[in-house]
Amino acid sequence: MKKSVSLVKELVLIKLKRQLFYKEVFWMSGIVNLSLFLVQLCFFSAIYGEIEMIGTWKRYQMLFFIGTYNLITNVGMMFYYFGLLRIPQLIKSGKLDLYLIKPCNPVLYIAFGEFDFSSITMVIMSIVTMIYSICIGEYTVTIENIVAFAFMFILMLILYFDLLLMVRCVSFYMLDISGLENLEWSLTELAMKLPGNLFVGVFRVILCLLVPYGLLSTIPSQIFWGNIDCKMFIYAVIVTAVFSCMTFLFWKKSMKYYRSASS
Amino acid sequence: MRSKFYKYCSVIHASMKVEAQYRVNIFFNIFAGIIRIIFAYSLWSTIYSTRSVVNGYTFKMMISYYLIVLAIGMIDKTEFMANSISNEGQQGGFSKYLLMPVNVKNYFFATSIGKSIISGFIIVLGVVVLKILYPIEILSCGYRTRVKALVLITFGILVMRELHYVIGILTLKYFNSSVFMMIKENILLLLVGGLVPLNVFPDGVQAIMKIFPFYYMVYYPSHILITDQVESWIFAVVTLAIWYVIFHLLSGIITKKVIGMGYGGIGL
Repeated sequence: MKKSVSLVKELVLIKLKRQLFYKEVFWMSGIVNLSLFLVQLCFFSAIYGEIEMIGTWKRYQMLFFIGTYNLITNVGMMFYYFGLLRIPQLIKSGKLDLYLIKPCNPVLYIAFGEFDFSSITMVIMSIVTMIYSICIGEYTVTIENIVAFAFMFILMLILYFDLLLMVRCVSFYMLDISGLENLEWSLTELAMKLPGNLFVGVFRVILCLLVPYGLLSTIPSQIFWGNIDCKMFIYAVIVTAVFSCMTFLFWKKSMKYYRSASS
Repeated sequence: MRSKFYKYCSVIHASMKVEAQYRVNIFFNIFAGIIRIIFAYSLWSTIYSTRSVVNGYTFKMMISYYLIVLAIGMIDKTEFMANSISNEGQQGGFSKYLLMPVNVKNYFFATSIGKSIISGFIIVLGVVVLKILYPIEILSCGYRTRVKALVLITFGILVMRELHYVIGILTLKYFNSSVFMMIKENILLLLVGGLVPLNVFPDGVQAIMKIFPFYYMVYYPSHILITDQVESWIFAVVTLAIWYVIFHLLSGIITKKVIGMGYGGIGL
């Protein structure tokens, strides 16, 4: 554990130094995330211009939901998203071998090797949005809310990691996973635009259980807005634990299947 | 003229073959489309549970809107032009298209048409399945309106062809292309009405949007198909035609400047 933590720390520091050197890349990536965030805000402000509530979600709660979603994805982008994204390319080029022979955990090495400091602008923007939504909602925040939110936030970061890695593991078996990545992006967009509890019937089962993108920002947001429900807590923990185990087993199985690019 | 036609037909044919090669990807892309419909259904069914009409659209009309938008999005593959030119430019492979005995813009457009044809088959298949499972009338408008919408969609694709070509060529010289593509994708989706019908925006915003071609590319054809209101159709066609000419002239100038004078051809 200690070894893994120091590995992640070193990888982050190395990448941070490199990124600070290329300032234009830092700003451009920040602008991409900002454009997505602004589009999302425009989308919801257009809808809330017509109606008061979407289901049980008032305008300020939805704003908090958007902030939470962006916080999760941007913290994910900062630490592991771009690293995991490289896996199909590493497999194709055979460079994955270089990561496997290192005396450390290859998943951590790949995932945290592409630390992206440019997402910090969006992390700050997300936090500002969340604080703003709390202010306009005139809601009294308690310590319990913050602690519960922080716990769920970390849990959802782990779940997001699992979902990303699981999709990339498919590239061990298929030459081109761009279609699957497109599907994954659609699911991510869906989770970004709609709280999980607004899905109905079979869609809810699919998006909150089978491919739980619907939980990512819904559960932390719901818990923060005072609905600290034990069942929801346990459900989130179980789903994350199950997906982590599945991802671990899938990675192990894929590793056994892997024969390097040249064979 | 005829030989030129056959030349581009071969490009379309080759593109179709490539597209059809990765069948699993086609399957996943269909699922990605279905997810967008799930999103629309979930969001709007919640909103319509408390009211029957939003901005003149009933629930059925709203779902039809998203289905039509999805179909137009699947048909319009001109984005491929910008992405390909940009990728090839970065890797230094763009020079080979300059050596080919084809017009670069037409070559990439023909490739995108090949992809559109495969998508067209999928749409037809989807409509047949939808008709069998849910025998609802997606389009309740007359044939005249359908033809008018088709004209707008075709014009829209042509404008997009010019726009994506201009963006693709510009990325050869000026931009960090992948970043620029992502920004463009995010903003265009909102501007064309891919996220939400544009009539939910305030009148002032809509008035500004009507000056630009994006309003008439996806939102307006979808709107006339579900409402059968074609009052400003001629204005839409004229606006698209003007923007087509502007982008066409711009693409000529930019191509001359970027490829003719400054393109090194060795990638980034």
